[in-house]
Amino acid sequence: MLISLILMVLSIAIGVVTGSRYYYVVSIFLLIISMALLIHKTGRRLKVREIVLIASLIAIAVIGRTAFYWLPQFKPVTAIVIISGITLGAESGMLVGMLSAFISNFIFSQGSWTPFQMFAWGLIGLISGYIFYNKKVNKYKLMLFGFLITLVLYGTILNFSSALMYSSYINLKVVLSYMVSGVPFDLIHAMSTAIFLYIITNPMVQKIERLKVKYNLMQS
Amino acid sequence: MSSYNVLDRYHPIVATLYFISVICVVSLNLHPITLMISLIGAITNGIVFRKHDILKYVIAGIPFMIFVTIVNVAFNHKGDTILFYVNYNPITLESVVYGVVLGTLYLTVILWFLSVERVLTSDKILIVTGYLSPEVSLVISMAMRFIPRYKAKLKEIFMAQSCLGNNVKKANFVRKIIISVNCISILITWALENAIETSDTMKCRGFGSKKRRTAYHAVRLKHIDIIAIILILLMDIVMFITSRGVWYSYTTKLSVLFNSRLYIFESVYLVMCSIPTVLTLKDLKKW
Repeated sequence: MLISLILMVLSIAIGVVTGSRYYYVVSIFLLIISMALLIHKTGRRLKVREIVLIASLIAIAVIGRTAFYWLPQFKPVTAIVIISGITLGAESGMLVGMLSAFISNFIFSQGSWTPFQMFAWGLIGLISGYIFYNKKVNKYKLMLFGFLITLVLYGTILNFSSALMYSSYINLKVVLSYMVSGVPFDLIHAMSTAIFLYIITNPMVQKIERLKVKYNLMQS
Repeated sequence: MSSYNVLDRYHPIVATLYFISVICVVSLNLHPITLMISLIGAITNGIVFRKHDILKYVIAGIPFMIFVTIVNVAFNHKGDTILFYVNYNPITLESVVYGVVLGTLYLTVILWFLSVERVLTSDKILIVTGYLSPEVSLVISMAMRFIPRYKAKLKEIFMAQSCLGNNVKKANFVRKIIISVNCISILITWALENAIETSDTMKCRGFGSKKRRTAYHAVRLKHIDIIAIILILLMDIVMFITSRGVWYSYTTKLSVLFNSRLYIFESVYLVMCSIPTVLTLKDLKKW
């Protein structure tokens, strides 16, 4: 799994270093392929209960996103992805992140941003799983984590993606200009993540932990 | 015009391959003729597949197109023909043209994705992902099913709560929020428990008991699909070979070369972009 992740980062890096548009597009395709491989590999290991649990978490995330569609960028998806990473582990968190981006874009709209959204949310699930899985969670720490990771990671990846796609060549200035234009939206998104984490962390974690104990999930 | 389109008659893989190659070509090859063909193709396909609302999206895409142009003009100072200076930074004709080209590319890709959305609906995506990984396809299809189911259940929960005296419509603002959050919490508990129940049912019916199981597909790969796939790949190969003759430059000096390879490339691309429109219109006329 680490190899695929490195491949993802590398594919973008090659595009940046070589500086030709051709490589950017190739890197996007490499990204999609490596993500598909990653999903394939993770999916193979899933058991029935995990499959259904992940599907239900994805459905909750998608419903949450549709419920707040009238507020731009105000989405609970990141919060739910972080919580599923915390409770179910890094790989399941990644799967929830990637697939809720993919599925919710059927309702909103698919576009060249879909692979990057999948990548960003998948990475958030992965990281939060690595940091917080099987540990006691402090809600306020988690809120800070959610705010920062949304602002920095998600915002950077998404703004970078539009710079990648629609700019003649990449340098710091171009990327920065896209970043600055995206900051208000990212701020709203980060705030919404913190707010949702404040509301749902304790009940959601409690519920899923209870399920894990009751049905002996995610063991072995 | 009806919502019929010719790509629905083929296997989803054909449509996927078609859209991947069309969008790939235009984003790799920024020759003005390629761009023009692709833009016109995207618009005509959009009109055929989605009726009239395509114009709305064209208008909505224009502000971002202008933004792309401005960013390119502001940060790209390459080019020989200097128009004027802003803060000692030269604004060149080449960068303006390149900006417009990239803005048009943005609009074109967006418009193609509108057709993608109409043709590759979620059930078709499921068939395509099923080849990749049956488990993930299962996760996607279950999540899709859960969405309307949870919505219906939420309605039920609200109704049940209103019988208990927690009526949302009659409550004041603060109480409204408390009741809603409570209902959503109930929904999530129910959803998670229900997921376990579903998985137990699946296990009882033998899911996962064998290492490899065949999956049922509503559509099968027919001869006509294979022919279509081969045709698309053939066009891709021809375009790949001739693409070396397609020369364009927006960086130092505006230059566009015309040669025989360019004509082959562009005509193949024109055929590719117009196939769905032409075939759909032909079929509609027949009926």
